[in-house]
Amino acid sequence: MKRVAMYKLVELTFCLAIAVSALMLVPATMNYLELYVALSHMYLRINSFDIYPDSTGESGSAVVSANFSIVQNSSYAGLKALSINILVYYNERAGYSDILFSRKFTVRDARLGPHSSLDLITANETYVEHFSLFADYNNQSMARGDPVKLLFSSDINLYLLGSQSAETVYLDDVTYQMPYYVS
Amino acid sequence: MRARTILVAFGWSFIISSIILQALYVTPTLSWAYYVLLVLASVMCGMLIVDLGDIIMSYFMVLLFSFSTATFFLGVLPSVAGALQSGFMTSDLVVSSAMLMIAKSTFPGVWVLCLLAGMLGGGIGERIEPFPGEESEEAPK
Repeated sequence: MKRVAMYKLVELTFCLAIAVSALMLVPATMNYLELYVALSHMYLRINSFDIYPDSTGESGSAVVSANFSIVQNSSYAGLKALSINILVYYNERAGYSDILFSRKFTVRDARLGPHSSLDLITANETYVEHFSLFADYNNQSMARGDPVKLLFSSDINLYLLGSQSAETVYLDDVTYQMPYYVS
Repeated sequence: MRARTILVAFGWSFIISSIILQALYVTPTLSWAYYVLLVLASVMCGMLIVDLGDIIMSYFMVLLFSFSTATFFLGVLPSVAGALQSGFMTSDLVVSSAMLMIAKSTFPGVWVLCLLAGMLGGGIGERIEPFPGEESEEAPK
């Protein structure tokens, strides 16, 4: 009698374990599937971008103030970012062949929650390289009456599925039309 | 092998794959808590199967079925469900990395542990398994 009751209890626990496994597996799997949506739909948003000659510093240098966001547009929970690289190119006529500046944002395990964004701010940072060529390009574009367009190329280093090493995910390039000429 | 044993083996596989998947969805290795759950599940299934020969036979079914189920969920399901965007990541790459991830995180520790826990469960099961006819005798009471 006691053995039968004990055996029935084990059988019942087994059935419960299967049910609980199924119930817990469904939301976990749904979240996992969202990972791929998150990776393919993540993008760089340019909230503001300003570049102007540095009147106080070295000649040929520029000051950049920018506000970017990395937008995670999915319901996936569990993304952590290590760093973001942004490279800005100009010279649309030559296929955006010339680099204006690059910036690495180290965010150290910043969480990218569901439908959230990660703000990256550059406030009055001085860049010396490449600016004089960019100013010349602006002058040429102004003479032609063409707008100056920039290409923002970016990648994000993410810890995927709890991994200890970050994987690089390349985001879609974004073009941005400068609202003014810089010379 | 009795049909009942096969059913328990399938249940055992499902529970094991569910535990492994829930771990691998968030971390590349299994923590001790998942090992405890795997041991408990295997002991319980061993208690239901009881016979040592059946436990070993079921174990190989569990090994095959759990590995296949985990590979399906981790590697195949994203492309079947349309979560993989074309050009972003190929389904072959996802499947192979899923298989590698499961193999690296479970072989051999998890599977040896499941076998030993199943056998332990079989030993316990012998002590609680109803004697032949005991279950049917109970009904008239």
